[in-house]
Amino acid sequence: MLKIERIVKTYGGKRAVDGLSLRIRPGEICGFIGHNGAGKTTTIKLVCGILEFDSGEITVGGHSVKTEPLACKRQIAYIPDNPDLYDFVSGIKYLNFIADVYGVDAETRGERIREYAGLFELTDDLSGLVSSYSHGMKQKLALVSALIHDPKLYILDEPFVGLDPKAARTVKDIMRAKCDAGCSVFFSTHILEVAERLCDQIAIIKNGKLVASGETERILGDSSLEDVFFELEEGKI
Amino acid sequence: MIFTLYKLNLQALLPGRSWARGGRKPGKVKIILLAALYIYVVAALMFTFGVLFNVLLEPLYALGVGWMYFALFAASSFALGVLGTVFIAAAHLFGAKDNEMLLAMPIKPVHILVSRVAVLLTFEYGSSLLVCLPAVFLWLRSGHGSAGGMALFVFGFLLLPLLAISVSLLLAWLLSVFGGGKTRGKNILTLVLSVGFLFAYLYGYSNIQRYLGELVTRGEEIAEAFRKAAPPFYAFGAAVAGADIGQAAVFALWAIVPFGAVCALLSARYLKILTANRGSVKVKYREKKTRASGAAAALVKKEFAHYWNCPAVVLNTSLGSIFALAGAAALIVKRTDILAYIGQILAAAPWVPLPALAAFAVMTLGTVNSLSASLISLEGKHLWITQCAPVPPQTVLLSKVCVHMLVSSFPCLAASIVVSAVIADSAAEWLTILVIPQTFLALIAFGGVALNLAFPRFDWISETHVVKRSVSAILSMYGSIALLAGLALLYAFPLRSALPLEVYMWLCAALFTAGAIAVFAYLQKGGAAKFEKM
Repeated sequence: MLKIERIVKTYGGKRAVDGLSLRIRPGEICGFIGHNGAGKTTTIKLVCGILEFDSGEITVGGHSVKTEPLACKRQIAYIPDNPDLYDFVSGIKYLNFIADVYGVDAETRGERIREYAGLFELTDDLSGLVSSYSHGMKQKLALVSALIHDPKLYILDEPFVGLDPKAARTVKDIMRAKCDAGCSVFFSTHILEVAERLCDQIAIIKNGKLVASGETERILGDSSLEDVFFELEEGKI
Repeated sequence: MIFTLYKLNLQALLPGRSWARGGRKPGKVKIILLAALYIYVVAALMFTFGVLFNVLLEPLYALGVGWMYFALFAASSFALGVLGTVFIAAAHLFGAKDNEMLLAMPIKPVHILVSRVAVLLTFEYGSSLLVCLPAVFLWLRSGHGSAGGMALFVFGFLLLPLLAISVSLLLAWLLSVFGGGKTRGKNILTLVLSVGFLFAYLYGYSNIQRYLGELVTRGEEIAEAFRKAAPPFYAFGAAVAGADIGQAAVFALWAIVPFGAVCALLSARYLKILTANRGSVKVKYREKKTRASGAAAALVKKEFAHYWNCPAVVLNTSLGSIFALAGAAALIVKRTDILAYIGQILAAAPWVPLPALAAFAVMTLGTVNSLSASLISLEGKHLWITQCAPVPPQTVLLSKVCVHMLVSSFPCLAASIVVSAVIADSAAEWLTILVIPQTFLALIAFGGVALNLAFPRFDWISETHVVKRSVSAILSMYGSIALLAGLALLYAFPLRSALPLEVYMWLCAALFTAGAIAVFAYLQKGGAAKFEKM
């Protein structure tokens, strides 16, 4: 579903992402872990086509991000770490905007809004302006907007930040259900316990380079993800 | 602390910041362009006030009411100061997005207030200088000046912005209350209040010749009425014209006391104002039947929602449309009076056909509409949404052009239809009034987006900063005015004898169309690529 091959992204001479390669197959959840400034968000933005990379290749469902950006974007739902949504419209208008942009018909969008807004207990608030939402409500609205167009690949940057425990649990359940249905999830997180329990695959990034990646069980061995992460950070592995 | 906050706030309001995105220093060409732009803007404003004061100076001194020259200077400076800062004050003091962050820091709210007021005062002094320099230059040149008067003029100039800022702060407070959320239709109310204020000012300004005529016939009576109606301005005028220290002291009281009172009031209530919960009334969502639309239509609707939900954006980017519609309505109601007035104007330039003048007037109003030059910047931190969407960047850019046309071309077209119905006698005249302005407005719509691509600004803390002070908005407005003025001068001097005005205007329309097509072609390729990389 997602193939990243030797991508390089430099910011004024500094390599933010340095030859990173990663593959995520359909049905997989991949957790992306690294310290602050390691290059997680930059990598995610490169995949979404928000930033241009200097070299390498990224394909989504066989389509190149560089040469077929629209075909890639149709298959992706992206939620940034800080969901800055249009605060001058109501929640329902924002969802309708996203549905229009992704070409979701009226009946389908109605069903999905009902289902997912209900799951996140957001239905009653949909007529309110986004500017009046709390951080958690914005995060929930962003999640509903991601689900409304039924993408193949979910790219989530710190999706659990700001969510209450119930909503966080709902997100995890949806991620697993979507992957069971053949979709893929690529998400960054600092909550190592969540990554350990939820992910089929783990990728650890340090200073723009992938220092470990593979199936979760293989990466962990007999250790916890926390131990593995700190050993990698300290260069013991 | 106050000085640090002052520097930070001043930096946020200065338009030049968009030149230094990504830490890159602007090139020499850009610096020269920026300098030229500001010199042009300053010169244009000073010229406008210079013309006004030149008309006033000698007649007022001849009538023996020289003080009124300075009183009118003070009133003009005051009105410009209030108009220029009221929206900035509302956004900057009460609606700034960094208010919460600053309140969470160990900073006294009064320090935040003082730093913000100090920045506004800096802008007040700047705008006051635009009025002051031509007024004082003409006064000194006329020989009416004196050393004492000059000293008191400088003294008064230093105090005058305090009076303007006091009114600005109070109005801004009112606007922030209306814009708080509980009032239904608050945007319309704010807009109506603002437009009413502006119309009152412009009505007075446009009738200055009539007032002057009345002043000649009823000089003392009017001077007395002015003295009673506007005592601070009278005190200012009397102090400077008569080198009267007593009147200067009176004026000082008029400036310092309200300023002190407003500052005391605000500093006592600032924290309460900022932390007041003016959240909208919660309405439970009831599912309604939705209608799907295409991506392009969705983008246009989104852009329009952003425009319509911010009165400051409406007022600052589509004033030309408001005036075009108001002018069309006035033409219907006061047709005879307006046509007689236009007839007087045309008597001075009989070579200008009425339809050509009407088309020129609509184009002039269109120059004030600069919405398209702000729409990319207004994306701000939401830019990621359109960048991630499976929509070609060309469609995103064209949606911005469409919204500009919606708020500029359509109202101007409606005004053109009314004007044509009143004055046009033939199909050719109808076409002149309807089509030629639309080609110019299309150029502004496309050109604005291209300018905003060249000079984007995403780090704004209030929409007002983008629509009023960003480089692209200023370039769009003054650039289109300069283009129109340049073409008018080109015809008035070298080309008038060579070809009829109608032919020249159609040639200009062809030029505008070619320009719009060229910018459209740029947006399709280079512009789209630039937007993707933002």
